[in-house]
Amino acid sequence: MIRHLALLTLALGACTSVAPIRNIAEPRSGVTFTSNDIRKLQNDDAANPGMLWVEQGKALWRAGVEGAGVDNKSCASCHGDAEQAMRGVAARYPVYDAAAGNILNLEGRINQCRVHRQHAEPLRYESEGLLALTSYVAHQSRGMPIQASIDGPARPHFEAGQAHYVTRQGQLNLSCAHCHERNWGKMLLAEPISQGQSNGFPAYRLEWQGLGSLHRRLRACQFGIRAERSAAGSQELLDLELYLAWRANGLPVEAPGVRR
Amino acid sequence: MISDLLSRIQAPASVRRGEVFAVRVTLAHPMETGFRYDEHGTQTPYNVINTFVCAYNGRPVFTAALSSGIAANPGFEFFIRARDSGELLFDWHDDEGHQGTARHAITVTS
Repeated sequence: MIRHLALLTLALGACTSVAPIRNIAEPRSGVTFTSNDIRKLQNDDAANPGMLWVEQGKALWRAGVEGAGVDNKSCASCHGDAEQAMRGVAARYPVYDAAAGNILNLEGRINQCRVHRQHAEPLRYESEGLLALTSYVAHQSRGMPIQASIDGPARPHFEAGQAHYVTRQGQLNLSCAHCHERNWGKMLLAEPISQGQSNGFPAYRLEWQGLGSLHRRLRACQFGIRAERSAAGSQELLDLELYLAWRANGLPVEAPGVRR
Repeated sequence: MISDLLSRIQAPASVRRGEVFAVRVTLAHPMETGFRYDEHGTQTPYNVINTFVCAYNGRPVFTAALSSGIAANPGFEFFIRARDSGELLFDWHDDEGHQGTARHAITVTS
């Protein structure tokens, strides 16, 4: 009997496809932790300043890539109308891409398209052009529930992201989980601590007076706990993004969200 | 900022004569106060939208003089009484000399 139990434990240990369980079974969007004014700003397209980037993204989607592009292809040349072609796409991201041998977030996919299909230079991470295109594509999935897959080759990336999430970092020696899983809902000075859900990004942050990517937000957290900051678009932030997406599964995409 | 000259205008395309309608405008602009320093220690020069005008068929119906203390990407909401069909012309200037223009056609039904 004991031997059987030991074998079973071994088998369980070796099998990595055991479905992980979320610490927060019913996630709450970051916008529910903000003030009424911010919620109004996010919900009203005429007032939401993030819509400026969405509008710019719409123009870029249709515009051919200047200079470098071989036949001046635009995103629309292949994908057509983004309102149909890109509907629901952002809700699945990040995804594993066999050609890249890595997981790709929306920014990564847009740049992959630019390099391999449009034969153009990739857009710099956090550049206005990439932010505009990302928010335009993400906006097409607004209201749809996040459904990130962590199966198959994405699994090791998920596990790396999970490990990152629970690892203490920086001079304050805190992990993401210390604030966003153990202490969400409590006050940190004048602000409530959110669950750290990623469904609103790319988001317009009042502190930034502009739109920023999820990676910029994660870097701001790393700064807050006085940790060494990972580069935007780096592997550790990509893995973390996948973990966060899985953690937010079921929450509606809010892009462009508005946050403090 | 994406472009100093980008804007979003929301106003009805058609209104009844005499009706009061809302116009909502968001302008893309960093609204630099002049107090910020970048990562190299260089002061970012003061640059805000100083004038914003909305003209209805050539006649100014709303003007605003802005200064520092107004957030980036400012939004306006104001009300106009519909008189004749025509055009709303939006026009704004910043301290670096950039000018932005936007138009919105409006049909007045009786």
